Amino acid sequence: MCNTGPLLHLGEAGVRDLLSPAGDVHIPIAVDLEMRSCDADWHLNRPAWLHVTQLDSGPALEARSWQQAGLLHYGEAQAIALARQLRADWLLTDDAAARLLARSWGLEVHGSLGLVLWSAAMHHLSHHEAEAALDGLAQSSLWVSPSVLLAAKAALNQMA
Amino acid sequence: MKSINVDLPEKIAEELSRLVEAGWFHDEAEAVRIALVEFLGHRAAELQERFQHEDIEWALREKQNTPR
Repeated sequence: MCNTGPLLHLGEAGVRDLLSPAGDVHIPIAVDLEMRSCDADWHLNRPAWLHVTQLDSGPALEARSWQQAGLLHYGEAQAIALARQLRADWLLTDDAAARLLARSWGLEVHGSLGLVLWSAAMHHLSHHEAEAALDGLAQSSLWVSPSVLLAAKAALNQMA
Repeated sequence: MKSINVDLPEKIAEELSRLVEAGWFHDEAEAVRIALVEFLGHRAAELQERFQHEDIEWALREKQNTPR
């Protein structure tokens, strides 16, 4: 289960396909629409491994109420509701508020940086590719502080 | 939507009621929700960094649990 952030940030870093080996990747319709607003050719560029999945009425109402309460944007709210509906193994988001709230509902949550390091740990990326992906993320629209980048590269060296 | 009951110190509860009576918020629940969103907004960068460090630790654990 993924929201807009990782699709966008991993895409900017040129490693969006890292999501595919992580399993079946689902996004709700609101995230698909957000991606269309970021990328005019999204309908052509949307990866074949990405499933756009509709929310059932109960979770859809839940997502709407979180948005109306001002707790989350609609895409994030739908992503959390869909993760609960599908009993997803992971929710991938780079939004701190979404992550905090999703965790309070018992979801396992990770972000783009975690996915890059996990891919290196699972040998989906070489050390060199992972280092380039981390540099790519640091230059993307995702906020990665110098100390986090340093810690991530140290972890990568530890994996080697 | 999840509901939670929270015990507030008397002074904060009075202040909350005063803000609602003055028309700043529709009700006390709205005031608390907005306060929480504001808190998350201000702490977003700090939380983001903490979550990224947690992800680094997670990836290292996953590596340790994976046979070479």
